[in-house]
Amino acid sequence: MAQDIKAELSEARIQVMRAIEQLMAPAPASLDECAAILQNAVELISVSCSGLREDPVLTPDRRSAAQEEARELGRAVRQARILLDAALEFHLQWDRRLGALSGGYTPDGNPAAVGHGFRVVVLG
Amino acid sequence: MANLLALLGQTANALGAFDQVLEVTQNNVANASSPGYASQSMQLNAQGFQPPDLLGGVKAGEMQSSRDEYAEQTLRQQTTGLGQQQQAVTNYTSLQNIFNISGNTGIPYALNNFFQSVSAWGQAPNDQNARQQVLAQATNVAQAFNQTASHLQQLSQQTYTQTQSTVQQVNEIVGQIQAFNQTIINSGSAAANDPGVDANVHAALDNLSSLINFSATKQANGTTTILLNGNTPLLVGAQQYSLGANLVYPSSPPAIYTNAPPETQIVASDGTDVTADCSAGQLGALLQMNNSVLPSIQGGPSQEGSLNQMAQGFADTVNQLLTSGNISEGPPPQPGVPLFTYSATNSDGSANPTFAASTLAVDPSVTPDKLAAINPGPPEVSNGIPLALANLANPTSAAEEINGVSYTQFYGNIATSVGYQLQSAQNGVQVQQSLVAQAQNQIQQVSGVDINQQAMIAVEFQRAYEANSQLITVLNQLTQDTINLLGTP
Repeated sequence: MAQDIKAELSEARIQVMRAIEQLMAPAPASLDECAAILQNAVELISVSCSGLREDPVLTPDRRSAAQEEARELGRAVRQARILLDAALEFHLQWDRRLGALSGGYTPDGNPAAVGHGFRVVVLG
Repeated sequence: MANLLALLGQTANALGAFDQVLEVTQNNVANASSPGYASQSMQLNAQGFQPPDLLGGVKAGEMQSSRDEYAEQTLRQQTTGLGQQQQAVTNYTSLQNIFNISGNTGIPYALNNFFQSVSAWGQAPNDQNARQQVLAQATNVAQAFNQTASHLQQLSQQTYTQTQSTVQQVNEIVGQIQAFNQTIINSGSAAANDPGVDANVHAALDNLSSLINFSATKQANGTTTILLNGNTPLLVGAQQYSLGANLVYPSSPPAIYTNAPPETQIVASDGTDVTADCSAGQLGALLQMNNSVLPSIQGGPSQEGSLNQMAQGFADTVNQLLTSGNISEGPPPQPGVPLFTYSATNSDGSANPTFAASTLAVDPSVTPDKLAAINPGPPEVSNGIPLALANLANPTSAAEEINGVSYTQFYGNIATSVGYQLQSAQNGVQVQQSLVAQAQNQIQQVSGVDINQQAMIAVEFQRAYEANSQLITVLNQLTQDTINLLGTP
């Protein structure tokens, strides 16, 4: 099992790269799609991690290749995190501006909260 | 009859309004790839309809731009980050070329040859050829330090020249926008609402965004105000405030080494130091290189620099070993003399170790027969000094090390640090490119979306964010676990 670790990590990275593509255009709908893709990646890497714990013996070549793939995966996950946070920052800042435009500023100098009204969101 | 004529007139007006809409659409198509252009739309306003006096129809309303200034500002911020990372890659690539670790050139090559020559001298301590080789290889070591210091000095000069050029570009681009502001001030609302002027201003702002971090605000009269880092005015109305670049020795904290390579300072038009406001974009990366990265290696007003530390440490250690030995047994025994010289003082005698690497040399008065081979002991060892010198290659005591490692490793650590910074910058370019693409997509998403819709998107986004954020946290942890299980390479 552990001997296939590079291929498993590679598949997980492909999933994360797909999620990154979704995060490039971060609308709410694409984020729902992104979550499903990330869930796949979590399952793949969980299998790899468990397999590695059970059978940690790898030839030096395979270990080296797996290490490189794991680092690539780590970079992709960090990129996904940065993109997700940047998208949230965009919307939060937009919300703050809208608050300032619609409600002015609070006594402590922050933009007023935006009244978003109520909506029912059905999850699942 | 009168009504029929009025009706015909009304129809002609409506056709005229639709004709204007078509012209706007045609203009949008024609400018589809014009830099900075945002699509325009013409509002059609219904006319009152109450026959027989008000016959209805439409009239052309105001022109509306699909541009969202907030989204544009976000894109410019990400472009600034991309410009910074791209410039950092260029900077670190140049620096990495100076610190070659292949072992076939430069300081590591010269050090290796020197250690081999002293090892050969240790085998035949009285052999004149072996002694001559030690002197030749010591000269090569000194020259390798000199050349590396010289290359760093050249890179520092190139970086400063590039900084001046970048500042000039900033001033030129701001000057272009100043000209548009002047046109708007002279022509009034016609120019302020002209999509061509608007496109040119935004194209110029986009160009500026890769160079510096700034905020741009459109004023009520249609002019654009530009503040460097949101603080320092670069353009207000028709008044441009140009930047300049100087080489200076900082006054606060005061420079320790007054003749070391100076720092680069960016000044506002009134002479104020605004270097701290230039922390991003290409200019930010250039300043980071000349005021932080290069001084840490070649020395600067407040630091010795790792290359000088290495040159001085190596010269002092070799000299200490040679002067602790004897050239001949005597009687009386003839003590050894130092091999290396370097300057570590200013002309007034004050300490300045930032010259060490550039001035390192072999003392021309040292001839092969003046190299001390005898360690007086006790017990006396006829080749003790060459053996001790050879041990510097693989040190076994703190006295033979520099910062806890061998001289070759110390050099390797400098090169590794440069390589790591280069890789970080390369990764940063990749991430910033995706952030720029994301910001471009966000512009498309918000274009034409009204405020209520956008508010709703923000709420839904925050809900979707939580799920994704948790999954990425789990993924990150699992990836780290896997890396730990695989061990370090």
